[in-house]
Amino acid sequence: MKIRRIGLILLFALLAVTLTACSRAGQSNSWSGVLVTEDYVYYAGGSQVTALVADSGNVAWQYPEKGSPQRLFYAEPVLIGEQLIVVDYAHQLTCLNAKTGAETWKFTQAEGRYIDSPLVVNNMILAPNTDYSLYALDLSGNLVWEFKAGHALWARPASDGTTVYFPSMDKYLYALDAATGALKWKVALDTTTISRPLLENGVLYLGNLDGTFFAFNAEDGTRIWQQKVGGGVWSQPVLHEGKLYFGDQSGRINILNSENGKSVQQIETDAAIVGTGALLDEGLVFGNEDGQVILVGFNGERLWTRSFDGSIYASPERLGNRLVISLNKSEKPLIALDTNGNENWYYGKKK
Amino acid sequence: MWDTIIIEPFINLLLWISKLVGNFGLALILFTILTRIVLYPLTAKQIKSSAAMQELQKDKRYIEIQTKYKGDKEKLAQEQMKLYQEMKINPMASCLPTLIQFPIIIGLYQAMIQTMATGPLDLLNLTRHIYPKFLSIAEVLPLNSKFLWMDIGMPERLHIPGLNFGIPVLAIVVVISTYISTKIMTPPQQPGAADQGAMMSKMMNLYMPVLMGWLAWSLQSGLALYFVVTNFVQIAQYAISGKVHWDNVVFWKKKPEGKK
Repeated sequence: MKIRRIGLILLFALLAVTLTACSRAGQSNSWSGVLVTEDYVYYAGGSQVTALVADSGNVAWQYPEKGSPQRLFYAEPVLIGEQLIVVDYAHQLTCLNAKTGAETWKFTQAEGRYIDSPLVVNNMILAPNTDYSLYALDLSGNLVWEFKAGHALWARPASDGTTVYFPSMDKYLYALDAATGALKWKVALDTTTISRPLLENGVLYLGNLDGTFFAFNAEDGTRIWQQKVGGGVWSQPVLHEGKLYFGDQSGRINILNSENGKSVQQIETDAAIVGTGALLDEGLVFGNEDGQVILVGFNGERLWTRSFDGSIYASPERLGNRLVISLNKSEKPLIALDTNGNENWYYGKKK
Repeated sequence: MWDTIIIEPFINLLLWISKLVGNFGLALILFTILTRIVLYPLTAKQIKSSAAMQELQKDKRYIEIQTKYKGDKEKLAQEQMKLYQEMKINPMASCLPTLIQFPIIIGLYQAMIQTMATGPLDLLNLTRHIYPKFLSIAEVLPLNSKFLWMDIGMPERLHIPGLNFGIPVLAIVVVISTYISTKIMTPPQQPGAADQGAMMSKMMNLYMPVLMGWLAWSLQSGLALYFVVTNFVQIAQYAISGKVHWDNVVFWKKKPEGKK
């Protein structure tokens, strides 16, 4: 009977672990964030933030030393001088020494997850959180102001130094005074929006999950134009010589005229594009859910395509001649390429 | 296939209710009650069959067979089968409804997790499950996940001023309601029937609330809410069938002789 009892306890324990794991509570459900600098590639890829030597891909340091499923890092780290800001799913915004990974300070007042990374402007850290708040901190981690929106914030704000702009899942685009956090204006976006806005020449560009792309006057929030595209927009557009380039959930790369929103071209790929394109000299590189890395010329021609195992959701990151892509469901979650798409090194399971 | 037949209809129904009532927590409660009502014919059948089995165990002939063929399992099984046929009892009848309900309950559980979409990848998948002719993303997103003091997508804790930790109220309610629901469904033990089966059921009654409590403590509060509602609906369904054994939970009342 004693053996049976132990067996039953073990069975229940196994069931508890399995059900907890299956429900993925407190777990990922996201894609990695990557920051590429001259010396290091910072990779927020789950339970740890890893600093890799940019030339070789060797690990320089990892934070925390031992990862745990309770604390997950997915947002792209942000560099301020020698300080590296990392955010996690356990309500924490942490400042690290960028060279050593040593913890400098921590901001723990938020109650929700940090889905996207903060914006740093005028020595102020602006961190969006799923607890509906945008937190403004000084560079020592002290709270300067807090603004509560109508729902969760999933996108990094944009700012010109005087005004901060960000969308909320409550279907509004907000403009706040950067110094005080006071609301200047807010406009309806019709559908939930989680893409980062792009601020260029006094115009804000962003798209929503219903596939409507907008241009707003940053001064007062008036709608300049709007354009429907084939699928939900998840990422920030890239503006180059009067044209906006961005992917959508239907797998199309859209090229719009930034003046009037008219579609210039649509390039079909085989799977959803949720990351921002990386600007190269010849065009823009996009990654799609099928693991394809596609270089599209500025006139919409496909220059090359490389295929990898896994799915690409995160934005490819470029610095100089280096292009870094991160993949989900892959044995090589981080791959460094040259600008012709040839593999230099990868980080992951070594065979 | 599984997604198309089970998960997607559940997700769309859940989102539709959420759109109607304007709150995801409330939608979860209504959705759970609705599915339990739909599954009630199966539950009723199961309750009826279990009751018949309990009656059988009180039968003189059944007790005699147990004693007579204690050492001969093969003969015991044969005699039991004969008795089942004689009394027109199908021993599988109480298991079959459970087996049919099982994939539905698993699907329900998965649909709820996917609908709660607490991260970008979940949200991406959720948008793909929405029937575009039935619901639009603009109508159903974002989900209002605030319900009472909790966020449905996060583990539940009640923070009381002055306490530097949160109280897992829902997990406690899950433990208590699971304990009560398992106890009231267990028939009082017959005299002399303290066999291994009875011992196992006693242990199950003890471990099940602990398991459910652990899940409610560690998983999203939406799931804990689902457990609580399920337990209450289950208790109500048993009460309607008149098969509730309140004696098992009314511990302050002296039990009649022979009952354990």
